[in-house]
Amino acid sequence: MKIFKLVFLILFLIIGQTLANEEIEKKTAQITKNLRCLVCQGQSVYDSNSDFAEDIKLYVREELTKGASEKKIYSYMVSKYGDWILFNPPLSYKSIFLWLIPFLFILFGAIIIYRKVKIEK
Amino acid sequence: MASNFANILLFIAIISSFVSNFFFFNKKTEASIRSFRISGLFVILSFFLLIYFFYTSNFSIAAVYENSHSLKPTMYKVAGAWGNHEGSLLLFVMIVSLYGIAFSFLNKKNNFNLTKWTIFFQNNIVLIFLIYLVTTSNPFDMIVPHPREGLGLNPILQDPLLVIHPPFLYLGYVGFSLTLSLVLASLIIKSLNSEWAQLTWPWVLSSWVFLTIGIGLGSIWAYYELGWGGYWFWDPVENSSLMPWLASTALLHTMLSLKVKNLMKSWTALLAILTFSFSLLGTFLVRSGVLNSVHAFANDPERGIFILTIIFIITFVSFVIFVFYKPNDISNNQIALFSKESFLLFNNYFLLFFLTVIVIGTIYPIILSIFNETISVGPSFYNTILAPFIFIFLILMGIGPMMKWSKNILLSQKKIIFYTIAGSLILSAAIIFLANKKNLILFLGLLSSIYLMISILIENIKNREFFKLYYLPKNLAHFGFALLIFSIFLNSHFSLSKNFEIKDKETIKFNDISIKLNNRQLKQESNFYEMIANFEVKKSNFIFNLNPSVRKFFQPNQITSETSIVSRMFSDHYIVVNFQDRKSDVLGVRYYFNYFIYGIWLGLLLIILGGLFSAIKKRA
Amino acid sequence: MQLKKEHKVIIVSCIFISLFFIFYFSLGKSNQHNPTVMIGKKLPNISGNSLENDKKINLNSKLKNEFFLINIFASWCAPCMEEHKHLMDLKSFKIKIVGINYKDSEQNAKQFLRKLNDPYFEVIKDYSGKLSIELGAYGVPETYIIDKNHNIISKHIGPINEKFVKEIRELKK
Repeated sequence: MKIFKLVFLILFLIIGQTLANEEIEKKTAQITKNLRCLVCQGQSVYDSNSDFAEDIKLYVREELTKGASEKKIYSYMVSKYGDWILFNPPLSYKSIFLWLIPFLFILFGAIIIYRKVKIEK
Repeated sequence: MASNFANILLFIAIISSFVSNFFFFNKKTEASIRSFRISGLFVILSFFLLIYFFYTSNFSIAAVYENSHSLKPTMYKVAGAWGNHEGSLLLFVMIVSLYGIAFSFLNKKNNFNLTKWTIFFQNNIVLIFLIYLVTTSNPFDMIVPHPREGLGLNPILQDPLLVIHPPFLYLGYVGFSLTLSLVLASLIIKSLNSEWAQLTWPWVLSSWVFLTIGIGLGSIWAYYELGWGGYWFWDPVENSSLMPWLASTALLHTMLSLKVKNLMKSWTALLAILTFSFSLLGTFLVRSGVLNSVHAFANDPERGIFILTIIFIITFVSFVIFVFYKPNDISNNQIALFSKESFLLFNNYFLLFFLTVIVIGTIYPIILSIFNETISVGPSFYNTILAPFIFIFLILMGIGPMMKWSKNILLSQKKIIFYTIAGSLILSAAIIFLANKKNLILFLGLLSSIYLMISILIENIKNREFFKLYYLPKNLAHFGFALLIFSIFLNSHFSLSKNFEIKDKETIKFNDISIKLNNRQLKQESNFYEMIANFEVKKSNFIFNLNPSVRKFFQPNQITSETSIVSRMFSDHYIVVNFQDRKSDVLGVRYYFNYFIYGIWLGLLLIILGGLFSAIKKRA
Repeated sequence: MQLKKEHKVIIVSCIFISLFFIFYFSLGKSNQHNPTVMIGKKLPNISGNSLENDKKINLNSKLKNEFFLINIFASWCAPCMEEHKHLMDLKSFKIKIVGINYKDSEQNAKQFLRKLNDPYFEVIKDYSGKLSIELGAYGVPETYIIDKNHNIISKHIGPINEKFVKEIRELKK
């Protein structure tokens, strides 16, 4: 019975580790897809196999294994390379218009339509 | 000598264009149209002459020298004519001429006034671009002394899809030049009405169909040949083709209102101007070097200034004409909420919202760069902001066609809509739970696209629309669109990709997939060395082989990676080699399991078929 | 909104002219953006194992209150060979250069320095690329100028040249 439990525990740890690795791989992919490869034209770190991209991938994977949060990793990257490295623009004074203009369109478009359309009971 | 002859052809074309204007202002309409045709003829001749130079590998011509090589297969030699900036610009001008000439012949009998003005505008578009071509980007510039051999073309561009992707794109977005000319003409002679819409419809439609095909070919090329693993990247160059597509789709729908009810005149005119403006904007963006993209063309800021000036002349003049000749819209009456007119309005609202998002996303980094700042705008921006609106858009697409002109009929349709939504809820929930992927975005995407598909089927059955030519275009195109979105959601949530390194005889396992590198073969072809990596892949009970390779070309010295794809019923297994380690022991590999990719291609095909049937419908 | 036609034309013209100039100015800007975020910031914690004897070194404490350069190099990097003589020049002018050996093999790096001479005060191994990321670098060679207070004054991307050597000599004074 004890051996059974031991085997089960070991199996559990192995599976847990594999799943955890799976999670980390997935997260690494997710994060590196959102980082720009700075020595390439328009490619993400995930897609590129330049030295730079490989370094970043390694770093992200290690940090995730250590338990760092996504936010921490992104802010580290930005502190070293600037906003340009992020594909997903953060909501800052720089990107405010990016989100504002579509919103203005929604608003004005809705107003125009509202004036044109009569709601009948 | 050859170059001089070609330049003479271009010169005659320019003179003929000027002559056409001269006749136009002297009220000699027939002569004006004839001169335009002659100008077009010489443009066509010079384009074929350029092809001839490529075909015979005449390296005294700079464009041939820079982009071709005597060892290239004939098909690619010929395609090299439009695979470079100057040649593609000549193709651009030729297509403007072609559309104009076709219009002048096919529209001879009706509406002489409209024809003469349309040709006038079309002619001047040709003229402006010809002057730009001859002064800054002449494909017939010579190289002295005459080189013996060319610099060879990028092997990535030696691809059957390169041969057809640009021509289709150009037949598409350049074709909107005629739409612009037609609209400006109708504004000036004050005949922007339903007859005009009827007449113009096939010209807008054919450009739209070509553009859709062109975009589809680009996606297919990226996926199958270039090994990018996907079909769309929100890359600025890709977005440049999507902008006129969205504007022209909105235009087509607006023209329906104009055709049937003589409504939305100003709006139609504005959209037509916008569509070609976006075509021109795209032309500028991809050639001027302001974009950071994987598609990077040869960039030249000097040329950029010229194109920018041309574009602004054309669009500015168009807008001024619009302001001065604004049509009187029939009524300022309101339209009913649940009528076809209002749903066409909603259609425009959404399509233009998508357009705004894409324009801003693409141009924003450029604007910021002026202030020496910049940000990246990538897929997550577009996906985040577009998704919720796509859901609503799909639902409205299901309800819209049920509506009638000038009537308010939601009440009678409420039952059907309710049952359809219920059915879609059940189906989407079923998919979510069976696949065990409890994701809200996926659920909403499936819900809205399934709803649209069922809605179309039900409408068909109810009204016995099946295979009735009148309804076929709408049914095919809308169903295709729903299928496209449905497939995109399935593909993005159920696909897998893995980057890994592998040695000979090693096996990598993940999920229910195992990949083994059996061995590597080395081959030598006429213009490259090839290393083929033989993989054995197992997924569940299915075993198959994938053989991606890396090619090292002699001339020019370049390395390409060939993908290997195995297609199953709904999905693809896809492998591409990224790199070979310096010690040549380890291969860097990317594997993709692309789920439901065929739904995407099928959806696109149905949309294109819908467009084609609309063209046939007109004749029938 | 009832605007006179003339007013409309003026508005349209203004929009167009501004758009024109936006694009016109953007033409002059490169579309490759070289991040220069690290410049002006304090030197981050740079430590690693030395190439020579694998001992742990911490730059911040070892070179406290000193002006020095950091040069990222590798034996497989051709431009690094090009700039080497300038590094030797700097050494002869008593300027301390710390080498960061990027993604290399110990054997090759040592051989490289033996063959071409060693301009470095100290060489730290960076075979995972982490130190480069810490510095905000993305290629080889790159050279950083660190002042006495350990601020990163500036950085030079690509091989250094005579002009750069002159500038450094000026700075040190």
